[in-house]
Amino acid sequence: MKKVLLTAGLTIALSGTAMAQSGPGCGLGSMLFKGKSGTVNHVLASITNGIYSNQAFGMSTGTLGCDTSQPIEYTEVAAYMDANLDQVAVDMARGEGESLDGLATLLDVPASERAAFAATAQANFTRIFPSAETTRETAVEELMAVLREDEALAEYALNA
Amino acid sequence: MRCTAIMVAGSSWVCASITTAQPDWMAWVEWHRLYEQDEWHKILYYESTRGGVRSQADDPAFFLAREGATQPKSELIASIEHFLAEPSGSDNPVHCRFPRRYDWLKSQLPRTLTWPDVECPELSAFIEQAAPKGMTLVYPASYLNNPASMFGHTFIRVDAEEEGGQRNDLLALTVSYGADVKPNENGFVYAFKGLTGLYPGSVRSHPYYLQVQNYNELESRDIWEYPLHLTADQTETFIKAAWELKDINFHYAYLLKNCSYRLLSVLEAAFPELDLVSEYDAYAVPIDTLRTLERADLLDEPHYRPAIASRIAYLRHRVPTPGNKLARRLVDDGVSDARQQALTDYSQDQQGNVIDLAYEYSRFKAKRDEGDLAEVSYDLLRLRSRYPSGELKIEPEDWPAEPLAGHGIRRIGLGGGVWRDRPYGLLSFRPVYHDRYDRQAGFLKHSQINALNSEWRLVDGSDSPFGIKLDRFDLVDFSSLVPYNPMTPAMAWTGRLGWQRSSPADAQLPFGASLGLGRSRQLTENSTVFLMAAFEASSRPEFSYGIQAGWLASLGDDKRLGVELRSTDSLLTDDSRLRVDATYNHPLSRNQAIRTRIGYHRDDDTEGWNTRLQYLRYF
Repeated sequence: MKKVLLTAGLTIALSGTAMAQSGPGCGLGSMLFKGKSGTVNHVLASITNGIYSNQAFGMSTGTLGCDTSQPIEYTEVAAYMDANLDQVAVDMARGEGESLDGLATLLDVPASERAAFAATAQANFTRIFPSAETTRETAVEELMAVLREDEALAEYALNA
Repeated sequence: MRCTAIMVAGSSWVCASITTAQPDWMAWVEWHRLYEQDEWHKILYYESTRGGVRSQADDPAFFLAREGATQPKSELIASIEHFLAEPSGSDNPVHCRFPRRYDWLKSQLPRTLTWPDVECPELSAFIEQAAPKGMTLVYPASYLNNPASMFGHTFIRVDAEEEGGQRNDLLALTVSYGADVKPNENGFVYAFKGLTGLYPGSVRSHPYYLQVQNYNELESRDIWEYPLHLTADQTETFIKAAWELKDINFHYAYLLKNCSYRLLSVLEAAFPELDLVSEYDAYAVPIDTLRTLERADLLDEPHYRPAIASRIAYLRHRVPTPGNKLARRLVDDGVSDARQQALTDYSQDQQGNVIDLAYEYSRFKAKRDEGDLAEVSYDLLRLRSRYPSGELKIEPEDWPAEPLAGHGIRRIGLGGGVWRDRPYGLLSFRPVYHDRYDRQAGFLKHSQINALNSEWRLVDGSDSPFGIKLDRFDLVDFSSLVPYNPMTPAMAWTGRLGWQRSSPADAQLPFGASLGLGRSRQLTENSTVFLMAAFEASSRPEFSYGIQAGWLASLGDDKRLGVELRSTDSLLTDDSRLRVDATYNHPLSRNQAIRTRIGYHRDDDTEGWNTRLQYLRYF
């Protein structure tokens, strides 16, 4: 299946990044257990049916706030991880979970390989999330490195 | 022949009738009175008003005719004219802004008409991204701490197609209507504007994972997902109907034209053969809109997505009491070597449960801003990663009853009682919502949400000229008696505002407010006790304080029993008042019950027993 650009998620996730990008990727990514310096909570709060949201239909073709040298697939994964870092971390620690499965979907891991993907992620948890201050950039980088080192999963690593 | 476009040729204006080559659609439209069709009215959200119709879309951008908001015929003709014309070269032609009505008009008008070829890249990309396979109605449950959320919320999730089935739900797109409220809006302004329909409102689309995080984690609300019996093609039609509402204002009104009502109206615009909205004229409560969809045979069995507090409660019950204590201390006091060692007292599965419980507790605690728990949460995750894999999943047998299993929100009561040997007839009516003796299934546990509840006593003529006396009329009567637990600490509270006679002997019906604040504890698996400080002020005049306490139990499947006491002393006089009630509610079916209450009342003017029996009907 073609890679689907989650522009809605992209726009929402990145709307908090008012700062200029510093390095590859999509501006400063979120950090484990801290979100994007408080903006995640604000963004989340804007979802509730009583609070103003200026993103009616989050459609924007692409790389809002992102370093345009990055391929679309990387931006997609980065945006998802920014918004779901905590959820992916706990699923990886448990070796199974819906948020981790969402990440696998974005990486185009087929259903038959998802269990192996989850097991490998769990086995390498402390490498992918080395500390309580792990950033999205580190987590994504390390996860790609882990995938590349695995014969069966290497093809799903992003070439970032 | 009307002039439908003006082109400049050189220095002169030329009127071009683009429709000259087309069949006379105008005559066809007149002959068939297409603009009077129910379907057209639903697609444009027209509602009947005195002397005509008016669209519920409060936005001129929604219409192609100047008077389109009140003239379905003008709007229809203007729409056909625009759609038959070649797109003007703007990057958002009307054919792409209004795909729902464009599709409908094309399907209704004669096949001999030729329509221009229009590309809509943004819409196509959105539909491709959504990859529609079906739709799910998502219902985040009640949230008592916010009036806007007290009755739940409803929105649509577009389920996506993937090889081998349905794509991960978290990645799905959602369509939700809500009020556009400025951040940090003053509470009273919000209440006033919300009730009077002064807020603009719009339809938004977000990925489902953001919704789940907001409801499950931030607000700790359970989510129920009801798949809808709709095909992929129908879902695409719904997307087009929702697309027309992009950036269009529909004023939001808390009571009727709210999220749930608007959602039903968009479903009608997409599927005009459905009749969903006509039964709502005064107020629309989300659970009622779910019932409307159920009656239309649109809902499938729901899926439960637990809130963080529900996951904690679930794990607390799976783990023995010492394990609960260990989980708490792992977070409150840190993941020390000694505590890690203590884990080994449990089976491997239970060790995983204890760590999971500790982790969930650490995030719940962090949410309440109690210190930085990142290190603790991280240590727990690192620990967990060494255990065999296992998703935290609550199986259906452990799910609470689904919202549609609950009783109807309106309740009428008929019965009688005896006060100090004098019998009386009793009539009660409550338009909304649920109290602590009603059958509990399907409602937020330990909560009571009553509004506009009234009780009438039928007496013999000597007491009152009409033979009927109002004993109470509550504007609001809420309570939350969630049992305290160190991991999910909560205060027990009650609040009431309205008119109330203190006993049948009370000649006055003062307006007042009462408040209770304290704590509730789980006593046995099926019963709780509570103790609160009570305060009351009324127009009697009266200011009093005291205690309110009680024991509440669930018996068998759904019977409720409770004993409550309220003892207050007046600040203004030497008066004191004591009230003790024992209440028993016996459901006969989902929507019927028998309730009996035996009460003792004593104050400085009167004393006596008040016993009553009522047949209750919910709808």
